[in-house]
Amino acid sequence: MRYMKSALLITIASILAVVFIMPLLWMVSISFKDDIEAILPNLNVIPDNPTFANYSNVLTGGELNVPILRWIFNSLFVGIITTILVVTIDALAAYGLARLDIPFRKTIFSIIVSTMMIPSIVWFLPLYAEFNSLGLIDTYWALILPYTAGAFGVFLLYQFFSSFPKEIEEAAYLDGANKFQIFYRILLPSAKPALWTLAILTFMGVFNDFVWPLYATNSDEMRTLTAGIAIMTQGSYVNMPNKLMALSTVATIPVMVIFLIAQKSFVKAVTQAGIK
Amino acid sequence: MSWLKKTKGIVVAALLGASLMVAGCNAKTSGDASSSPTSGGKQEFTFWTPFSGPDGPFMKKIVDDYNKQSNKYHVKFQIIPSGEYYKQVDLALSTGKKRPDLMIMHVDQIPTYQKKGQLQPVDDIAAKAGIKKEDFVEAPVKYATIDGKWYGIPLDIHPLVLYYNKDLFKAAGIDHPPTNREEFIEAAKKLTDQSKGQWGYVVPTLWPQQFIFPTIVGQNGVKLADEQGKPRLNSPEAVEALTFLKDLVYKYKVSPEKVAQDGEVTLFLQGKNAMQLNGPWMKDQFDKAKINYGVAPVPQLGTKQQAVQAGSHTFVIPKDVKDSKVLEGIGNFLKYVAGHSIDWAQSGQAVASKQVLASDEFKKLTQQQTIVAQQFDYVQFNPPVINWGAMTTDLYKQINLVLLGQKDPQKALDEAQEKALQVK
Amino acid sequence: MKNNAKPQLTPHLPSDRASVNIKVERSKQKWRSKLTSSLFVLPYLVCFIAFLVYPLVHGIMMSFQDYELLSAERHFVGWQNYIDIFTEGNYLHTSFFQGLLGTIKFVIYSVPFLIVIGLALALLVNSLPSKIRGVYRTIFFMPYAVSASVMAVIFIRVFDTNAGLLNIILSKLHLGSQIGWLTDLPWVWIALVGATLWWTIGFNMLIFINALNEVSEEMYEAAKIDGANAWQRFIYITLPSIRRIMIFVVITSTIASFNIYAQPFLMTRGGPGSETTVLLMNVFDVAFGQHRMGAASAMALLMALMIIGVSIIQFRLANKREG
Repeated sequence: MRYMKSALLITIASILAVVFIMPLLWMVSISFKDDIEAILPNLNVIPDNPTFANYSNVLTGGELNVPILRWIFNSLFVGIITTILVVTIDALAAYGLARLDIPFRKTIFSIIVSTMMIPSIVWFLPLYAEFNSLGLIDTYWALILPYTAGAFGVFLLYQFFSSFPKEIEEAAYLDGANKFQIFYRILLPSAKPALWTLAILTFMGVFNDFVWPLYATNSDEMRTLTAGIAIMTQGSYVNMPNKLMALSTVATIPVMVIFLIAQKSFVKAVTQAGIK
Repeated sequence: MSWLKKTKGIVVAALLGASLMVAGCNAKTSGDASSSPTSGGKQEFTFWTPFSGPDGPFMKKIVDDYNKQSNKYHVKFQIIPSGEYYKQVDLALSTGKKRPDLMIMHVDQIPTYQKKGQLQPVDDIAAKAGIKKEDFVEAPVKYATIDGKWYGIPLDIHPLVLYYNKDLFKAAGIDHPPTNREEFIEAAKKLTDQSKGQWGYVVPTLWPQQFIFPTIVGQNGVKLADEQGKPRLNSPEAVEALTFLKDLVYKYKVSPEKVAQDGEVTLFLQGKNAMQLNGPWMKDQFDKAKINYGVAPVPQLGTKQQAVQAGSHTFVIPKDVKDSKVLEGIGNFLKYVAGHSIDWAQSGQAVASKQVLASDEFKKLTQQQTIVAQQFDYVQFNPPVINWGAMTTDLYKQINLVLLGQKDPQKALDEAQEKALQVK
Repeated sequence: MKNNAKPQLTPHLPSDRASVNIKVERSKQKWRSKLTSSLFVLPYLVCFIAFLVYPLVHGIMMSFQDYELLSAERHFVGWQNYIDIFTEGNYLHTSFFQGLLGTIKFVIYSVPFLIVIGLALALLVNSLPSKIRGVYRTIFFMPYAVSASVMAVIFIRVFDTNAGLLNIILSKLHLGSQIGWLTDLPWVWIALVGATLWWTIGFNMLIFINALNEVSEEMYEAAKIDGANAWQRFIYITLPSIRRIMIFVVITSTIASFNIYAQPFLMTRGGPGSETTVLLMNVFDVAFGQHRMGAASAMALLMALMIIGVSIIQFRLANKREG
């Protein structure tokens, strides 16, 4: 009986997996097609004349000789630094607001969460003007700092931390531990899955954002990958799907790699947490 | 575990420190536009363009060649994604610091930006650099001259053209592209074979109707705005034009229904669409897809006269550019471009410089550019009305509904007119 | 201690001093405690105020001005922008309410699916044998890594009426003629919601997986012993245990759907007509198409008020159910 149930679940999951992965397979397969086959309405995943031309075109910066490797570095650098910063300060803040005696903590928390509901266009222009007047446009500061104000991580971790059982913390207090020790040695380890989740989502959000990086930089060397790609493709490759797909695959690979690496830690964290 | 965290902390600190240094270096060398630094003794200035498509490399070549041959000036060339271009321009102009010294602007945007005091007249710079109005095709120069002052030096004019599939034409026994409405309908009908999924002319329901619809309206003899700058979107001629387009789908049945964004291009690339009205910027994609295509002037689909809607890329200078050395450099560069824009023509565009148009090299280029240039005598641009784009947003939504068979042309255009009047 | 304290200026009896000192010590301790606690939230608050609150305040001020992006003059116009939005016949009015209708439709159509399917996928993945769990989890999450313009290109390819992959599959299966996925009602909404689900469901799924893993095994074991079946275990153990995360997902999914922009803009351009034109599209149009940042700010802030209102309602409903 258990095997039947397992088999049924695996079947359902597999059908869904096929539906989810098809568009991505199409994307990759089109990226290997030549210009003529790329626009034909056929469904075959294996190209008739597979070619690396699209990729070599993209990776050498195309005809514009763009510094694509530098862009990839920028995106990775900004993504990783931002993620580390965000996860750190959000975890501290969320724990403080959830568990400690911060004055007006309920009010502060409500304000933080309510800013999530304001569309970013309201402060987009003033934010740009702020960095401009500080002379920080076209620097890594401009690419990293705005994301540290995001309320999402604080909200997410607050919900997780609030549902942790208090007994362990209380025992530790009685043992004479101070707040930071409790946070560092007890709470963080149990919160690893949530922290890794936040890290993954933050990294992807930052990496894939192209609007703000586009406005925050104006020199070729400082652009991020997504912003740079927009410069090469908007308005043109719409009908040259193979080039666009090659670009997209190149842009997606770093994110996927990070996700897979983070997955390992995520899984370890999940299984460890289960052994509580 | 805590050891790992500690090293992470050090790594973070080190990276932040490194980034500070790199950032500091960048802040110095990326150059503040308003103070126009020099690079290796040459006067520098920044030049922004929206050429984020296949035409980008062609402009880059012109800039690179210019920089090589000039020992006084250096152009810093920036491409901005075309979809974000005016947003970035607006931001830069409003905050002042990172604005370009020279930039490309579509000619029909000039009235709005000039009215808001963002552009400076180019008469003096042109005169100093030896550039005359007569050097260029008249239409964009006239358009860019407001209150007697000249605000934009044209680079090219990009009107609508007729692309047709030569193989399909041959197979249907049609020996020349149509030149008027009757020929067009007849050819389209001959080229339509639904059993093969082949269509004579697939009617787009979104872009580029912004070029097609005004073309037919202009060919019917009227403009979409009156002399005072008030919109006239529901004139009988406009309704006639829209009805004609709708009839192509539902009466003459030379086009499939429910065409989605870019549907007509995809079908053309697949050899399933015999004719297409689009802009010269499509050339590169058609070349790559190895379609045996021909280019022809847009047939007179309207009832009165020849006309064709066009855009034009022009060079404009923001108001705050005051440094005389920079302005001289800009003039020098523009003079060079006017004489060397043959490289730009390679991208499929027809240039506005009369000198280049008359040259042998231009005439030798594949037929597209010369066909495009043939239409220069009767090009029309968007009416020089402030916020024309905002006024006509609803118009194209209404046209979309009509062409999808979901609305009546007269009603649609009446509503569009009403909405247009609401825009200040 | 002793309560017969005589009013003395300088208590020098050891016991009196001790009692006052304890009180002072306690409040000093409380104060110190609050200080150290506040240090936890300080780094975040600094960034929050510097890079969000400060520009936000400017943005709010802009909504009270006729702030034109291009002209030098900025005048304080009080509530005029807001009044315009509510005045029939005004451009802002049409722009705001037409867009709002599109956005509300999308929120209603998408949020239930985003929550239910997100949870369902999380449950499905967790119920798979642990060796292959990771593979499926990755596959369902991968689309989230794709950027907006790529998602749009893929789905335009899929949903195109005449050359689209979906219609080709359907005609091979003899399932009906050309459906205008991007041009006709109600298909257009199905296409937009479908594309959104494919693109973003991994996000909710991942969060739900985390929440499900927090639920202790013992509760399930105990329930099984008591004879509860799978459905009952789900209703009475799983759902209550993940309540906090459920609230989080509901609120963030609602916010995300209210903020929708890329899918309708890139895939249907807001069509057919204005059917799928959403509020944020119109806000950008007013901001950059007409260069009126002040009016656009006002529109965006009204949208924010609406989202806050909806979230408060959701929060209250969730708490009421708790009893």
